[in-house]
Amino acid sequence: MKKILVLLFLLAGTCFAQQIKTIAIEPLEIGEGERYFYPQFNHSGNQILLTSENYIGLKVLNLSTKELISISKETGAGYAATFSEDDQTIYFIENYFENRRRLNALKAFDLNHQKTREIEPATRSLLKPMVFDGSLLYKKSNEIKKVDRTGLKSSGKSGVYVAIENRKLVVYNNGVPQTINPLNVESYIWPSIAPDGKRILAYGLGEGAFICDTDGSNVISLGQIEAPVWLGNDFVVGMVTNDDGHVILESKIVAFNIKQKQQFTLTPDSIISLNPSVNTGTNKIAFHTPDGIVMIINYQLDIK
Amino acid sequence: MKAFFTVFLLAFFFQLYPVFGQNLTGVKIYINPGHGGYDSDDRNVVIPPFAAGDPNGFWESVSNLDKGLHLRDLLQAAGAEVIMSRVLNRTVDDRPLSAIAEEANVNNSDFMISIHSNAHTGAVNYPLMLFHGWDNNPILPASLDLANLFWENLISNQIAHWTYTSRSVRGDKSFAPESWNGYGVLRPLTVPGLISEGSFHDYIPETYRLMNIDYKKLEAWHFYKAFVQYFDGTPDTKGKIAGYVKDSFSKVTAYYVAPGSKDQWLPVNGATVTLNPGNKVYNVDNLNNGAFVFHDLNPGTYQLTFEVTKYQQKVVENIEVLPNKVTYFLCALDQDRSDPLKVLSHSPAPAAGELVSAATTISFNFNFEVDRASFESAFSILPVTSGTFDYSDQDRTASFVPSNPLEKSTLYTVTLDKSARHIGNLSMDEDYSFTFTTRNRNRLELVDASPLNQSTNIFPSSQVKLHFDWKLKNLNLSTLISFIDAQGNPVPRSTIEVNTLPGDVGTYAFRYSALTPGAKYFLNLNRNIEDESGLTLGEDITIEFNVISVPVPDASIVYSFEDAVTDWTVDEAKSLNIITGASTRILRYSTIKLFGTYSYRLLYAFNPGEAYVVVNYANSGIKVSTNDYLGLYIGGDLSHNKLYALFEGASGLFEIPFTTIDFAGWQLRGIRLTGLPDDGLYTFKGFKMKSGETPFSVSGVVLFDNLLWSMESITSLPDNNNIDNRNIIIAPNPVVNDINLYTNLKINDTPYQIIAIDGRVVQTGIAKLDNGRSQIPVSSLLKGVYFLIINNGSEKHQTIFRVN
Repeated sequence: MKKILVLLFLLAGTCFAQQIKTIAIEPLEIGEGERYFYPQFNHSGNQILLTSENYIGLKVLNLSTKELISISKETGAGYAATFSEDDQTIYFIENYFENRRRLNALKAFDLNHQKTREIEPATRSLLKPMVFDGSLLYKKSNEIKKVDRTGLKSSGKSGVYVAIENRKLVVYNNGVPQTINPLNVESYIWPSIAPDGKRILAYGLGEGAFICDTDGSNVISLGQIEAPVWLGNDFVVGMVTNDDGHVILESKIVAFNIKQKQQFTLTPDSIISLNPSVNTGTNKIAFHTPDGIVMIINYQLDIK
Repeated sequence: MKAFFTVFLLAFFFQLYPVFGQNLTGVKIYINPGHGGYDSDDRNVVIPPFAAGDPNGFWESVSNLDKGLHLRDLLQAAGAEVIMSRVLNRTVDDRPLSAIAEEANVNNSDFMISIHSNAHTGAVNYPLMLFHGWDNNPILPASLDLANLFWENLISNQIAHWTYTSRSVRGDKSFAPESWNGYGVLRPLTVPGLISEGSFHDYIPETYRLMNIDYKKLEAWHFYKAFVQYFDGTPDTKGKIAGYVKDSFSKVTAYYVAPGSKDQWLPVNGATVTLNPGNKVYNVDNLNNGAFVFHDLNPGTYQLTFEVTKYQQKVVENIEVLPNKVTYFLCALDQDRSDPLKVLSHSPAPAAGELVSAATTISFNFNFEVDRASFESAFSILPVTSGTFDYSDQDRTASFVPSNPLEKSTLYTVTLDKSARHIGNLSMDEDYSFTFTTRNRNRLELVDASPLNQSTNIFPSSQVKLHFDWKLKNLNLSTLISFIDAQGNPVPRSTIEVNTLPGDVGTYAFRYSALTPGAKYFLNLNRNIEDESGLTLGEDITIEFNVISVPVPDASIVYSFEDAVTDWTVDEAKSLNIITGASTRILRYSTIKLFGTYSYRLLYAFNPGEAYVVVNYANSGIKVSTNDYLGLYIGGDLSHNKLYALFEGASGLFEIPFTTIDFAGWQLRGIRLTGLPDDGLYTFKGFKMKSGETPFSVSGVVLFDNLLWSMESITSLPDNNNIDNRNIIIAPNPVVNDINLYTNLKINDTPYQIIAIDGRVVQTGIAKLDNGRSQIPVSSLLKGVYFLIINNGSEKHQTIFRVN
């Protein structure tokens, strides 16, 4: 009987496909005449990080109260900003230039107290941080470091951290680095870890987006989807663009069903839709247009 | 000991440092050579010898990559870390713009440069730097700093001609279309960046320069120099010599160059440039740029030697090389004119038996630039002809332009004495001579016109038609042929037709309407009207005519030409030598008519030789008898075709000569039917039109409106159309040599005049009559239409004839 039930379950998994569709797209009303880019949802979906066109400055918008708090005005502040797992802290990097050389400083903004503290002073060797399993992981010099829920800094010898180091895709499992080259290309960008921590999503220059296991195996190519992000563990959302070498002529937000290898277009051709951010709790995807209008997709997942 | 060893190592390191680089250690630069892949996103400029799409031709992607790779090499040699968005040139290497920016961002680059070249109208060339932001407000100020350094270095390049030298450093939001919001590769950058449009690749001299790898390396070196300045690196201790090799006299003619610029001089392909000391040799390529560059030279004084076939060697001393600088030498080489002057070709150069237009220019093409004074002194032409000299192709072509058309049917001998020399002072080995014979015409002739000068029977709405002996050059004819009223006001014209007949003959026709009856009008033909062989009319001609109201005689309209043409058909079986089908047909026509709503329009086309077209009128109810009068309004075409009216009766079929179509536009012509037998009624059966067998008779259009009938004379017919009034007859007509004059007048030898259509008296004499016949020679007359007037004081008669 159990075997029959398992068999039926397996058959169901193969017979039914998960689809995603757009229910509505609405502009995010922030302030008249103000332009914002690269929106990032928090985990709860009730707050969203915003920055300028070149990632200068960082603000956080409460979607319920519409309160907009300025966190930083520095160069690069909007580039690597991310929420802590409890959404109480916003981690971000500020860029400085010394003798024309770029330095990165890692900072944390406490939403409750609205205060910023420095985690790492400006340095040449700081890489983009990630939040995994409640902790912030980042690499400085040759060491993976960790900031836990309490804000305590330690060595990052646990957890999964993925970084781009001199164009290479490097995965740190419990602090142990492994350079992987799933697509056999020279350069990778846009790395991230699946919510369940079991797979990596990235983009290989010349090949496109892909997912693979943390050791680089079981590669699944997703096609030319740029700025890809996870939607749960089964979908990847990104943008598909068309440019003429000077300007982006078209861009649409798409969702890719990893299991079914099926792509869904979520935005109309009439909108140049860029750089999505997903919140699965509220079934929303935020993106921006070239003019700096942030828009929210309300999506629906169907099983057919 | 340990301290000493440490000091020794440090000293050794700093001693080595200048050898290996300019201290850009730790700097990280991201280089994006723009475009890629020879595809639709790439930019291909077609320059000979490369066809469109040839991967060996100019592609911006290739040019950008060449510059990027050399910049990488220079930066790496100076200790910098370099990331390149591509190192190959495939479509897959042409990254999405957002991916390029992200790669620069995530790898913590200190600066991002996107290498491009520009395009616009093909007539400009200058470096342009674009940073993200507005002209006065860069989003990342460091971008503007380096953009200025880039521009300053690139504009210093003296090999190129810059059409615009004011600083071109722009914010992309100010520069690009507003809808772009700036350039896609700059917008997402967290690092300072810029787009370098180093020059314009559609300005052809620059396109050819961008085919030279060393020229591109020079641009890359200027980028590198800017980076060294920006990052406070150590300037290059070595210098360069760069320049071009061009002809000192010959100019570029095959493509656009900025007028008066150094790009006007012809680049010398394949030159060898030798640098000493060191005996370094640079072989200039064969791609029309003349560019050369010697890289990485120790400071000092050098000598350059320029050598190439057919040019004089040039040695230049004391070329000073300075550290971190380019020393330019722009070499102008003199051609080796050690060969004598030689004629490569001449014109006219007719084939055997071929005749030449009397409007021809005499030209010589030489192997070198001719010395003008010696050419003009050495040139002669027999028969002697006045003219002027003209030079082209940078004096490699010299021409003699006669002041007037050459004599017709004349053998000319052109000689260039061997004393003619080139600018290098070497003359020809021997005299050069050729001959040619001109055609039997040396001016454009007006051979026929309607109206004729002094005409007094022209309708208010009609047509002007002019016939010439050669096809007209259709240029400014409406200005050269003016049509004015007596007050000098221009009269509108419509339906202008030029050169409508096959063969060599030319025509000019137009319609006019609503002229004032009783008024005088003028047609002025300017002497500069030109035919396609270059001959002109040579003298002004005025045709004056008077307009009358359309005569409406007291006669019955027996056919109005208003009905559908179903009863009228071209009888191909009875016609001779016509081109059938659409070329010869009759149809009802509403566009041009004299009365009512329609006229009938007969289109015809004859083959050469005897030809006629028969137009049948079936079911005709028009009955006539001998001595009746018929009148017909005819829209003529000046074809000199002969129109006959056809009748059928008890005695059979008769063709009665109606008129010769020696006019254009509307006329009322009529006949008295004396040629019909007096045996009853005859039915009108249609028309027959015979070819006049002139070059103007082969095709055309004749219109018919209102056929009139009367038993009395149709009195309003103009006198000269009343065929009954023929007292003198001439034959043949047209004529070539002699007219035979026949008259029924009782006159003796009678003075005559022959008058051209412009009113000039061209011949006078005495017609010696023998039994009413005389012969008048006309062989000296030019082709055209003339009036013959005989006038003995009591009898004056005139007729019209044509000389072929």
